[in-house]
Amino acid sequence: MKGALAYEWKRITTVRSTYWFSGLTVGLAAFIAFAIAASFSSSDLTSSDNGISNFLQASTLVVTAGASIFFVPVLSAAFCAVVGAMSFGHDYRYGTVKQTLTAVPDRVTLFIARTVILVGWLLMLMVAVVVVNIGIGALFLDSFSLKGQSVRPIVNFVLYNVAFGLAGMSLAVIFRNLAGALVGVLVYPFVLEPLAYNILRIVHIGNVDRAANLFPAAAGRRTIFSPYELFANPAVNDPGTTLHVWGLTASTLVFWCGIAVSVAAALALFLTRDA
Amino acid sequence: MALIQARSLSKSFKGKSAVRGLSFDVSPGSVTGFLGPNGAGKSTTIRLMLGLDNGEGTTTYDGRRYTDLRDPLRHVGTVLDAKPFHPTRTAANHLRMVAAANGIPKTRVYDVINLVGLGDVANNKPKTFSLGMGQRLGLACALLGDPGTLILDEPANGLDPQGVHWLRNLLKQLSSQGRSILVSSHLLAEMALMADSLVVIGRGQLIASGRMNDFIGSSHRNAVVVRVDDPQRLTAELRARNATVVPEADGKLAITGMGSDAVGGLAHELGIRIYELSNREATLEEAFLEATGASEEFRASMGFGGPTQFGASPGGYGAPPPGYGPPPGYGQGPQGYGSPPPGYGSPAPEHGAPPPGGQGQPGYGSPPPGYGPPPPGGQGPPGYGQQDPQASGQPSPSNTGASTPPRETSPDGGDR
Repeated sequence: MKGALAYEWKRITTVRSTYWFSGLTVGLAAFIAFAIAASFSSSDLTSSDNGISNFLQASTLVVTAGASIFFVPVLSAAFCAVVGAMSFGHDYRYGTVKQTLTAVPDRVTLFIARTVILVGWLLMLMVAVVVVNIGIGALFLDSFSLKGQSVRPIVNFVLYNVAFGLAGMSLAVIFRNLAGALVGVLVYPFVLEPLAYNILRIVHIGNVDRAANLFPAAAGRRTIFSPYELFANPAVNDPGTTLHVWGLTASTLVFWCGIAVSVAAALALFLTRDA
Repeated sequence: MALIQARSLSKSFKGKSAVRGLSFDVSPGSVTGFLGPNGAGKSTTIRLMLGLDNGEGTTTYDGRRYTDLRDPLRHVGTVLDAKPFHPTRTAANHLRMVAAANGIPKTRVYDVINLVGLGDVANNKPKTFSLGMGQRLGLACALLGDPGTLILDEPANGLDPQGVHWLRNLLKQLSSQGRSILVSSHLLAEMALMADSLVVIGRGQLIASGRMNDFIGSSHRNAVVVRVDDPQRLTAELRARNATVVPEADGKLAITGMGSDAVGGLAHELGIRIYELSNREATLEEAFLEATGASEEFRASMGFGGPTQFGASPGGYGAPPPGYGPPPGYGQGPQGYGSPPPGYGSPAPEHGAPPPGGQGQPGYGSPPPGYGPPPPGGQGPPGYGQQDPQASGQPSPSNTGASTPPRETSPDGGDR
């Protein structure tokens, strides 16, 4: 395992695209954070009765680059997915998988090492995103403050991005194709799930629309919302819906089950397929 | 210095058998050529040997499977593809990455990269490499762990003649150190110079395995060729003595089942004048084509109505129709290659090219057996395909120059 980890560390740190996409993740998140911080004024944060709550939410919004409310897409997740997809995708794209497996012939060891290094890299990356965004919030947001209630959405923001990296990695193994993995990891959460949700909403037969609770990408997205009850409620942006959204714990479980299924499928295929 | 033992290797793709019950050994201290027509299953076999594909059978390296080897690159080095590299990871970083997986010291990276002649481009990205440079980097990767066993799938692909020459000498040198080397290649003339033993497969099954000389010696192309003043009478007498006689072009007789001494003695007894008497030895190519003729997976029709037109004899296609045979001089001479083109008659012991038209001129040494001027009629001398590197003017493993291979040039002509 030590050799496999060393191999993987060398692999991820000796490819320029790793740095490009990691840099884009930090840069884009910082830009969004700055745009949000600059758009709030002191009066916005203190004018209402719950001003304290307002500026806590604004601080969380800046640190999560807008992910803590429902209508801002998490673009950093897309870049994390690309970094994840490249982990196995490069092997298939450039035909290096056989050489990788001659260097580390134990496929379970290789898969674990690759997953560990990817998760470690993405965790470091997202911690960097959070630190940079905290700095931006402290510099540009009036009354910037992070309290205990900000921790959950920020931690889930970090984990959501890391999970997208894992999803990208898994799809690269499943499709054995970098482009296919990228299309899959971007199209599924941003196109297929919303499409399926709207179909369920329009069909509106019985409680069938509750199946939308089982959509893992949407469930994961909800775990970042702050406050959860406010933004997870579909009536906020879709007054016509009667969908009852599951709670935070259930949504978290659905999301991570989805990620676990994709990783398990990838591992099973990686172990049984020819190189 | 491992003994490779492949046992009962089998692999099917969608119900079609690609490798069937293949068993062979590769001994230490030898270069073993792995031959077979396209689609015969060579690459599949190599992948099975390394545990890259799921199949049946086992391959052990001194009794241990590849997947059970600790730090496998210290035991077995492989070249499987021509350019298996990330295009923007530098050559040195690629080797560092592979070295890290097997606890190989970083200093070894520059040892092997210099050994294969890529020292000047160690920090360049492989996307700028030619196919030959990619092969060299692959070889550097295979040699990284200083393994006792090398398994190389078409390592000469893309190499220029100097590169092929360097590779041959490098492998000879490595085998002389006691390493086991299995090399698949389509370059039969090169294999004839490089390999000591052969494993020949066709349609996934073993056709032959053993010493190269034995394989070539088993070919029906080996014969005594005689040209006499009374071929009809000699033919009758030879057939009366159970020899097989095949009349050939320009009045020659190809005789099997009787040695040249006996043929010469018989002609003398009969008072038949002999104009020419020689032993025709098959080349590796001829022996290979003869052995694998019925095992070819993909046959070209040549636009003349498909292979059935050539017959379907068990040994291959049978005789081609008139006008579709080999060109004049090819396959007609004692050993089948006809006359070498001008300037190729006498390779120099010092590796240098002879001057134009110079065959055995001063300063280049005399032509070694088998490379001299051909006899009249465009018939090459025997033994062309079986040249000993020493006898053919090739350097010995001790002076291979393996540590200073020729420099590769980029497609635009500049040194890289």
